[in-house]
Amino acid sequence: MTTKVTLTSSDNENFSVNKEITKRSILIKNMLEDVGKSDTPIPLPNVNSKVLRKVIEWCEYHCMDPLAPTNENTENQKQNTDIEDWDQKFIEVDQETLFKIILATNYLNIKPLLDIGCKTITNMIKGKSPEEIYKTFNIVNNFTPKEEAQIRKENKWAEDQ
Amino acid sequence: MDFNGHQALISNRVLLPEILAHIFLLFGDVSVLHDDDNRSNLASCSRVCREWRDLALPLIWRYLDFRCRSTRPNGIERLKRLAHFLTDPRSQRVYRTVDYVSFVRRIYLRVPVACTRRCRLEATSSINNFLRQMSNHRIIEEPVNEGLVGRIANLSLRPKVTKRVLDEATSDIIIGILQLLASDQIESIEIDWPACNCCELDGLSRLFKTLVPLMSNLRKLYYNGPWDQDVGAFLQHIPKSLKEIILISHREVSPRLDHIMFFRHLTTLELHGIASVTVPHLQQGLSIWGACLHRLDITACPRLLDDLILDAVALHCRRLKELRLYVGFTAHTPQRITEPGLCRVVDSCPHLERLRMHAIDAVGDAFLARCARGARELRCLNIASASARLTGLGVVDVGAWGVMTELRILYAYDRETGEYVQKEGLDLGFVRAVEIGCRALKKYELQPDPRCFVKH
Repeated sequence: MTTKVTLTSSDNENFSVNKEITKRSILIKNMLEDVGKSDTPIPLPNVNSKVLRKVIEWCEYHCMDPLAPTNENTENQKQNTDIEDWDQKFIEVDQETLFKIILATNYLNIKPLLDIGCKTITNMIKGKSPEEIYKTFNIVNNFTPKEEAQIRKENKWAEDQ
Repeated sequence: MDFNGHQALISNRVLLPEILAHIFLLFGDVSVLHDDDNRSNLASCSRVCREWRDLALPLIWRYLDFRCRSTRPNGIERLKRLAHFLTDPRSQRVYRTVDYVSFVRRIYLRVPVACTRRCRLEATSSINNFLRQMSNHRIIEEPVNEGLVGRIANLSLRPKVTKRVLDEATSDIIIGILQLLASDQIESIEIDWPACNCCELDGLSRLFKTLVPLMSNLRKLYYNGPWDQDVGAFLQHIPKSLKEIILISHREVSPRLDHIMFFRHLTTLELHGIASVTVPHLQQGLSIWGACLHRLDITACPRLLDDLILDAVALHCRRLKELRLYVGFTAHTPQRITEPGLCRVVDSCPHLERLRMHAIDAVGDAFLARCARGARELRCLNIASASARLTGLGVVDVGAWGVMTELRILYAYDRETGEYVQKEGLDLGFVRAVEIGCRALKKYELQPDPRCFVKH
C-alpha cells in the first residue's frame, strides 16, 4: 500500500509526503480519492516550492490534531484571534510570504492554517488608523477628496458630543 | 490565474474578497450603536480604500443593538442621532450612494422595564435566601444562577432599585428605525427582557407589531422574558423558514408552541423553562425536523426529561451535534430518563460533538463506558451535579475520545451533609485512561477527588 504521495509545485519541484499528512488539505484528499491507488504526482500549479515547503511543515507538525469540527462555533471563532505559540513562530514570515501562504491554503483548502494566516492579518490591522494601514500593507488610498469628505461626515452621528 | 497575492492586495485589486471578508469577520461582532475596539477597527478598514470599504460597511451595519438604558443618557442621544442620520432628507441626499439600512441583518432588543414594588420584594426575598445559604458556608450548585447574582449586585450597590422604563419617546425612535427595514432583510431577532416576574408587556406590544412584518426571511429568534398574549401572538407569526429558535421563560405559564413543531428546517431548538411543550408535541416535532437538527437544549423543562424524547432523538436526529439536558433550578421532580435511553442516543447520533448534562440522575458508569468506546466525534463532555452512581469504575477503554478537548465531571453537592455526593471521587483507572488516551484535551476537570489533576 502506498503511504507516500508526490506533490509538484508550480516551479516543478517534487515533494514526497506521507499520504495521511497531505489529507489535511481537503483539495488533495479529494484528488487522492478520485485517482485511487495511482502513483502519479499531484500538480499544484498555484503553489510555489517555497510556500509548499512551509505548508507541508505546518501539516507535519499538526498531523495529530483532530480535524476541525464541521459546525464550528462561529461566535467564539469570531472573537478569538489568539494564535498558539508554535503557529505564531511559524507564521513570522515576510508579508509577501504571508499572503502567499494564505492564498495557497485557501486553494488547498486547509482551513486551520487559513485561519492562522487571517488572524495574523487581523492582528496586524487592530488598533491602526487608516493611514497606518496604508503604510503597513502599502495600499493606495483610491478615494476621491469628495468621497473622503462624505465618509468623514457619515461618521459624525456616532461621535459623542 | 494570477496568484501573486501580495501584489494583488497591495495594489487594492483584492482578487479574493472572501479572504478579506473573513479577515474582517475576525474582529468579532460590531454593533452600529455601540463604540468598541471591534467597531473602531472596522471603521478604520472602511476608510482605507474603496475595495475595503465595500467589504467593511456591511459588517459595520449588520447588527442593530438596541440596548437602551435610561441610566446612560448618551445611549439614548446616540439612538436619536442615528434615527436622524437615517431619516433626515439632507443626509439621504448626501449619502444616497450607500443604503446603510439595507445592510442590517440582526436586531437585538434589550428592553428596560418598569419594576413594580412586588417585583422588588420578590428579588429581595430571593437574595435573603441566598445570603442565608452563604452565611451557613454552603456552596451553591453550579451553574451559578446569574439572574440572581445580578439582582444581588444591583440591590447591594443600589438599595433603591432604579426604575427603568421603555418610555414612549424611545419606543418611537426604535420603531421609526425598524420601519426603514425591508420585510425580507432581517435574519435574526433577539429580544432580551431582564428577569422580572411581575412586569407587564405594555411597552413591547408596539415593538412586536413593528417586528412582525420584518420576519419573512427570519432564520433565528431568541426570546428571553416573561410571556403573555402579545408574545403568543408574536410567536404565531414566525415564518416556517426559521432555523434556530431559543425560548426562555421565567414563568410557569408559556404560550402554546404547537405550530413551531411543524417547521421543517429547524437546526437549533433551545427550550428553557417552557412548560407548554409536552412530550407528544416534541416527539412530533423531532419526527418532522429531527433530520436537520444540530442542537437540542432542554433546560428546566422537567416534563421533557423523558426516555420517550431520547428515543425520538435516537430515531430521527442522526445529524445531532450538540445535546444539552439540564434540570435547572426547578423543584426536584422525578426524571423519566434511564441510562439505556442515554446510551441509545450515543449509539444513534454518530456526529455528536458536545454533550452537556446537569443533575441527570441516570448518568452512570454504563453510559460513561458506552460514550468512551463509541462517541468518536465527541469534543466536549460536561456532566455537572452527577449522582453517586457515576464512579468511572471499569471504564478504561476511552478509545473513542481521540478528539475530545473538554472533559468535565462534577458531582452534586449535598446541602444537608455539606459534602459532595461521591466522596471517593472518580476511579483512578478511569482517570489514568483519560490522561493517556485523550491527547487532544485542553480543558479537564474531574471533581472532587484531589488525586485527579485539574487542568484548564
